[in-house]
Amino acid sequence: MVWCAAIVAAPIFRLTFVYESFSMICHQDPARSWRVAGESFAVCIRCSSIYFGFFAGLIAGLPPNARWLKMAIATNAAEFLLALIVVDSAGLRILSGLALGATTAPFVLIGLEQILAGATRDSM
Amino acid sequence: MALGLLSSIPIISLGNCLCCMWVLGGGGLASYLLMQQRPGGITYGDGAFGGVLSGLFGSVIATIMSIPVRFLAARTLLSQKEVLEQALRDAPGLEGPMRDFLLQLASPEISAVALVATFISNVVIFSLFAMIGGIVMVAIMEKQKKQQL
Repeated sequence: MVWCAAIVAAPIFRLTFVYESFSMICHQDPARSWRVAGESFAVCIRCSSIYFGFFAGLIAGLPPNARWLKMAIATNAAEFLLALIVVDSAGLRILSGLALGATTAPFVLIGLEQILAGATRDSM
Repeated sequence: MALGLLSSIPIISLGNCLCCMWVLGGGGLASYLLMQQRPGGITYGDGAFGGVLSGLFGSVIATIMSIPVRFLAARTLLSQKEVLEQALRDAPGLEGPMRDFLLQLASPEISAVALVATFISNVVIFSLFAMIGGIVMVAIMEKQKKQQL
């Protein structure tokens, strides 16, 4: 939630250090980013969609499904190639990003729960 | 090791702009190697733990690699610093120590502050994304050990 809030808060409050931090993980091209208050988000549309999808997946409590996750990864890869070769659509980036974030969230939640429960310490 | 090297070499490190590709891949690789060691499968927690460890190790490598890279890219960093100075002049409420801190980070000079800040940001980003990479790899390979929570 803090992560998503920082992405949206950066343009509103002109938080330069947030842009600096996110520059490590995103190209931050203004032409490929959503805008608010005249400034672009701290990350591009694809990244924003993945993070918002991840947050939505956590809130919705989606069940972990490896098939959905594989399909989401394949969709993102296909969309990336499609954008390079045929058509670069923001709508496709949003949909594929949301799907990837939402399907990843339950697995990450389980992984974190297992770490916190000490499962890893017992089995290693 | 691969995670740290790929994330610190200029141009190649741009791969991280694609959803932190090298870091996710590094975490996934750590998780994959762990699966090879344990034919019985691993838990998502194991994948996450392996990913975090690879992220920590990678952040050390990336920070060490950032020293020669700063030397080699001094001219580019200097121009970046000028752009940042201009941006900070336009941004209200960013005066004083915070402004000096940000300018020091963008400076081509090697300082303890810049190295510590680079290391901390690397640790946070790399550990987080490598952990996700590790978990996703376990999910994709479907080799997780059944575990009761």
